[in-house]
Amino acid sequence: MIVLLARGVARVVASILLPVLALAALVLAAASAAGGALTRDAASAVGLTDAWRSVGDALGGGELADAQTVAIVGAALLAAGLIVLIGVLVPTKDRDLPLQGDPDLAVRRGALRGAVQAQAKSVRGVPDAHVRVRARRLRRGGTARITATNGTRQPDGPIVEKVRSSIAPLTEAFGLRTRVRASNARRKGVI
Amino acid sequence: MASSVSTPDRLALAQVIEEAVLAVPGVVDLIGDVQGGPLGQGAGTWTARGHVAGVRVVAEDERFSVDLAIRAELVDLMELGEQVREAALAAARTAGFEGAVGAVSIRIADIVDAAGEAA
Repeated sequence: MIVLLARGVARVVASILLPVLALAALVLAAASAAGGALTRDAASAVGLTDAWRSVGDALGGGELADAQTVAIVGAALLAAGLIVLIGVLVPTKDRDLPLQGDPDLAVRRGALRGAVQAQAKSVRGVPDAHVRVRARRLRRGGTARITATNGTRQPDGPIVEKVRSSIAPLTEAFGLRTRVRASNARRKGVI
Repeated sequence: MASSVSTPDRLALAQVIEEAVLAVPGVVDLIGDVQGGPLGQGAGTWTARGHVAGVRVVAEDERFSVDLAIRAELVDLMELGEQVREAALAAARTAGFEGAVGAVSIRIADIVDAAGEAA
């Protein structure tokens, strides 16, 4: 419950605080590039003349740097702020994997990963499985890497084969090449 | 992209498709599917008269294209896709939209196990 709450808070902070920070950086950068007069006027407009006297010289390129350095730093900060804004505001999209032969049916990569994992864990003697699914960028299909925990006294080979045949209908349908390996639970001290 | 179909048509079609798709065994829910931060796209039909999350009906050249975003149980996904598509088209026909629906795209956005947990 606490983890869920923390994740929610983190998402809110990431989506609200980061744009605010980026905008603040942009304002600071613009002020740096524009020089002392602009920052002084802006500070006096919001009643922060005393505060400006403390830091205004630095912002306006007083003793800390010459005008050229300030302009370069300001431009760099502007670029950094824009990059942060783009990174925060542009939606990230989990890549979809279309069904082979039916491009109008697709499954989200994360959902397919979960399905492959559940299928692998349904094999008797496999208490756990770790799955990574990668979708190709330009062509259809991708790769699924499965590490199945061998919870039996059997060698890894038969377990790998069972897992491979268990997930094959799913992975083949979405054009995934599979790489299956087993990790031995006894060797790892899990059981 | 000129269209002669109206907003009430879109909403009505989305509603009948929603009902039909939710009745398909293996479909748990339709997902509004907003992702990717403040500018992320939501899948759904949003009009001033109401909205249907997870069923996006777009009017294109006097026909509708339908995009569905579903949360499914861990079943045969290919078969599920076919059943969902057939259910959507049948519901559209029954509601008087025969021949008005073009492509039906289905996106399985989430898969859950029998207990409702993410697979």
